[in-house]
Amino acid sequence: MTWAAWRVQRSMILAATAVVAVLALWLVATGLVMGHSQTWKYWTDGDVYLLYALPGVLGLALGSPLIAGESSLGTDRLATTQSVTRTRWLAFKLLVGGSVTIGIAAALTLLLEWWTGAVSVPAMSNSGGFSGVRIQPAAFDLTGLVVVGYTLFAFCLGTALGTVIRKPGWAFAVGLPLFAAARLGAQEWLRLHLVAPAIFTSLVERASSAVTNSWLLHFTLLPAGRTSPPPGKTWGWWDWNKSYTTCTNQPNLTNAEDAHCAVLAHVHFVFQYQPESHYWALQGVETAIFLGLGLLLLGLTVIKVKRWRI
Amino acid sequence: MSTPEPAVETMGLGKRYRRTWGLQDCSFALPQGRVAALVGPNGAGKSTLLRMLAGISTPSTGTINVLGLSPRTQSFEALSRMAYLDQDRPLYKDFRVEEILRFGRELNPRWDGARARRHLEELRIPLESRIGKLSGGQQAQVALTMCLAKRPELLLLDEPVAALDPLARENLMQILLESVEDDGTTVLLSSHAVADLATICDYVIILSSSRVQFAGELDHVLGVHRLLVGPMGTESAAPAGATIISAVTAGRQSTMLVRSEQPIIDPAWEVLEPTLEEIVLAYLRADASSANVRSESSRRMRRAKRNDISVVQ
Repeated sequence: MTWAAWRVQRSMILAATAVVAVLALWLVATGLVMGHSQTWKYWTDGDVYLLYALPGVLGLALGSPLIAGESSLGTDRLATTQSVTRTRWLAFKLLVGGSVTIGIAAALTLLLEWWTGAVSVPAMSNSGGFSGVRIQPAAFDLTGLVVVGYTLFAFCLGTALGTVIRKPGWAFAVGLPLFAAARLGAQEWLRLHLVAPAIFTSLVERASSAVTNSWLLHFTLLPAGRTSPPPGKTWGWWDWNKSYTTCTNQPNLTNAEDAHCAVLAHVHFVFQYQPESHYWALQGVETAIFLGLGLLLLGLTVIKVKRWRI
Repeated sequence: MSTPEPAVETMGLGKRYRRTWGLQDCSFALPQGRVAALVGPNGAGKSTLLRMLAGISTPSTGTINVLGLSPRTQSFEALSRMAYLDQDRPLYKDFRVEEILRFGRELNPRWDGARARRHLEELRIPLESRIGKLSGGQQAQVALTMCLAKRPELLLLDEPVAALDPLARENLMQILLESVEDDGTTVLLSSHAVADLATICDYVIILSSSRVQFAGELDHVLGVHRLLVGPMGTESAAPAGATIISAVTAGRQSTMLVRSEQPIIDPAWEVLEPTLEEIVLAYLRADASSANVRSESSRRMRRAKRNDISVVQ
């Protein structure tokens, strides 16, 4: 039955593979040239955003037609009247579709891993290249396990939406903004809470190199002794008390004088950040969350398909 | 050759589409080994009934028993012993013919590939052709071949001859008869081509207005219906014990089809034996004359049904 499930999905699988193959050529070519010449070219910011959307596009393209493609063509009436329960048929389709999705996502993440590495050159970092700090969202979202997690989530999302909407094109169209929302939600909010961040405090407004080579989450001036905002205050709150502002309000303030002002005013600067060493922990947790969401959607799909009658 | 257990048995079966009934209060028992014709006008509920029997549609009311099994709760057992041909003949259009046969082999433990190949060879349908490139009639033949290769005990066919030319129709009827003779297959087929059916069917189920109007042996159908011809103006006075199915007045003569368990001896009427086609037509005509009253509701029903199918399937 694996062959049958593969054959039904073949055209979509080949299309997705072709997209990744063409992209691979382009990434390798531009990566080599940019790495060699140490200059950022060929890619605009808009092009790079497409790379972030790619797991969603590929996953949805493979997932949306899984059920909806059959129901819109009526072939589900052929498949579900052979000598096989619809649960079993669905299981094989998911097995084949899911395996292919994992394979394509794995190829994608390896490609992007290499490419982001190749263009992480200091000379390029101001013109569009990557900083080389992989835990910063720019590189984090294009490397490691999360790419596989996002793609599989999009596959499950497409499958579930297709089961409800029953038109592959619509399932894809509805799925894309939902995928974008899930990704943005994860990046802007969820990821801040997944792994306990590291904290660096300083009497002057200057971070150490450990902070610069990391993903800076929050930075603020707080009362001495505090490493997070007092209750009722957010990270946007600055403890600009009067004595500190008056003390530092003089020309040619040296670092020592600045620090002395902070001590007198009982304040300090707090940097909350995710160091590069948290990369895999964060990748693992975020991937697990996306896979969990995907499995939930698959569960709903199975229930829906079991009850599915004309 | 028939065993006491019917091949298909329904009790009070009904299917409700959003506001109206697609099929209502449908009860009949089809003995094994019969070739049964399911006839009725468009929208009478023929496809609805066949889909529920095949397990791809859920009844709103009533029970179904196919080969002693429930198509819903014992779907695997039921599906492996019956075959269903949908009226749209869905096939994967990008498959080659040999690929759809492999598909059938992988999804059916009991699969007679040799029979399928022989059948397609007789029809001169090349195995390496793309299904989408075949003519409508050839696609219908491939879909039917998929059904026959399951070697089913029960064959449910929705409009199997619709896309076929007269020669192919005859060929199909021949194949069905062979299957019935070789395997004792029970066949339930719906069709508009009543004339074709009369030659091979031995059981008739007449559906109209979403209800079963008649279900029984062909001989019985022919035996209890009579065509009465008499002068105009007498149609309101049917002989005692006879139910008028439909009456037509042409010129000064009135013809009506009646159903009566007793022989009709009435000098006012000339009593003729109707053909199956005439009987079916009479039921369809009766349905059409009452259709004026129901036209609004039936249009709604058809729309609901169409929506349901396009949304769900």
